[in-house]
Amino acid sequence: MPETENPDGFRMLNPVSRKAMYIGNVISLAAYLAIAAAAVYFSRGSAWSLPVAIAMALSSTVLAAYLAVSPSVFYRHYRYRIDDDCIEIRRGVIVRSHIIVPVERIHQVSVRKGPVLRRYGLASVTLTTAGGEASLEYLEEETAESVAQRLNEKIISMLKARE
Amino acid sequence: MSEERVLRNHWSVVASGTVRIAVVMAFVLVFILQTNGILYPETFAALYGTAVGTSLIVRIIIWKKTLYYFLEDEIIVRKTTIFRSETRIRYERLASVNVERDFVCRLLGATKLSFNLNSSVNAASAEAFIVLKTVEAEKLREEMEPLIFGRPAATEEEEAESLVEVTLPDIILHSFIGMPTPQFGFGLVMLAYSVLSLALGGGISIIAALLFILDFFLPAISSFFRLYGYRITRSGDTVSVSSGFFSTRNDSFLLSKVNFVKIREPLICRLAGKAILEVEVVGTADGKGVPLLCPLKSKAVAMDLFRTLLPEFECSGETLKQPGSALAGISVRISAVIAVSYAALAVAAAYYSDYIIWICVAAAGIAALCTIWAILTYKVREFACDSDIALIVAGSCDRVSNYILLDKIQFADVRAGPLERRFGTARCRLSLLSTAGASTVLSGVFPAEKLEAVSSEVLKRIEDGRYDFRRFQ
Repeated sequence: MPETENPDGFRMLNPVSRKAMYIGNVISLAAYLAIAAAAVYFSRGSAWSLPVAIAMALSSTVLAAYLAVSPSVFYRHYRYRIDDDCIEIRRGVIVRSHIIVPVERIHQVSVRKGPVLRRYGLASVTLTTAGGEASLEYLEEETAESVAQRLNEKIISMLKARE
Repeated sequence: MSEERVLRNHWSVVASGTVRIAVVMAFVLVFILQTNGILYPETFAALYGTAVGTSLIVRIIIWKKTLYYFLEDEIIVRKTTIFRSETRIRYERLASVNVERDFVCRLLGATKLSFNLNSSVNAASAEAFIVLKTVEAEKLREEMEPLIFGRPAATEEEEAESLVEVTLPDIILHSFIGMPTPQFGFGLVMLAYSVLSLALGGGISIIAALLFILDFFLPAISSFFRLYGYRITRSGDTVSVSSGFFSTRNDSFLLSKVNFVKIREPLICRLAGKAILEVEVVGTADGKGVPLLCPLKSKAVAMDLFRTLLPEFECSGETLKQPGSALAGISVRISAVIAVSYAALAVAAAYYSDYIIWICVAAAGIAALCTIWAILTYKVREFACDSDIALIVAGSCDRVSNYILLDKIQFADVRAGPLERRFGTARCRLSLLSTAGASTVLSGVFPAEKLEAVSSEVLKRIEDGRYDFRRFQ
């Protein structure tokens, strides 16, 4: 199923993006578990072995639960809209963000594709302003390329108009 | 500039760079050779000579092959070394020009002029700098100021009059109590601990004394020497700030290049009715904090200077206090901190039962500190927005009032957690261009629609043409 557009002009992500999120989360969890296991291993035999083991077990469980649930919640709440003046992004799992980036403030637009995103034909568009970066994540590759091209054209025409 | 001028750096650039390398290499080589058990005079001399000699040759080549062309409307920095480069800087794009004289420069009669663009790229380091003989540097600065700031360089009489009278006690007070409260408090606790251990016959605690020196004393002393002889002058729309004891520094910038204004009131200063006025201008930080317009003085003096210099930054919007529901979020955060701290204390109590009284004292202290923090967090934070300016008062112990031009906001992120959503409130993170690159200002908890209005107003200003990019170039 491709990305869908709501009546208010906001677009939702392609459902396949959840798979990419799950894979990313599994990698993060594996990295955390390795660190937790190392902490437990190296505290073995010391007075702190039990508290360290309990803390690592608790934190791993909480993290695993969060990473298991977060892709669905993220997918359900993620929306973005691009119009002539601004890019709006609504996103978040526990804390929900509403980001508005005026096109006038964008200096640079880039498309990024990591190995996991490439596997599912997805990409992220990074919008660079003088005050930091905002990004449109898990877009379909074609959409990401066309969004980046559209924004780049706008920026160039804006700069030309200023000369 | 009436005619093209071609300049090269003063030879002191080669000398100071080589001296620095010589000192660093001496330590590095001694460490490496000692560790490997081959610290013999001849080995050291051969390696040291090669390293310092190579550095000297490379520096001489770079010095010879770097030329500065001061043209009618731009500066060109041309390097014809192996890595060729050409940097062009148009005068009207410059945000600030700094005049620096460090110890080596003063010894060799040289001055460093730095040129900074209003850009987050390279914000922490100058786009270009040139070191010249002091007389030549002054002459060049005089010639360039009309091109950059649209007015001639300040005369001696103009420079003599500072907009604020800053006395030596002001600088001492600023250096010692103007630092952030956590840093101040930690320094004092370490000092008290060192003194107590000495008084109780246990000898001085080296770690506590060291922490006091590193965290409190050295930053305070460094601030004192940096701000010694502080003066702020104005000529037209250009502000010049100069100070320094061993190294002197003079920053000049156009008021239109100010990104936002901060009025900082650390807890003790607030109780004493004092405040510090700072501005965010690209290129003026140099790793030593945002430029001061007014060191620690009475709040009335700081506010007067603010209104005189930057009246367009005053916010006429209705100032909002955090609603009662904000306390719910603060309480949850406090409870989480207390719960984690108490869990750690419970583990400590199980292992160190002899210290149970001290653990109880720590528990009571944590509860008291968290409660005070919660009250301050709730009371301090404010928000206001009119058609030009957003005011975000942030902080808990230290109150920071950020006056932000809407035209300088790059983008806004209005964010709400589960509790905030329940009460229709949110927090707003504004991304801005600051002294050292990009920075963000985070508001307290306020009605979501009031915070959303910031983005709407920014967009409206772009749409209806009130935002004029030429004003900030």
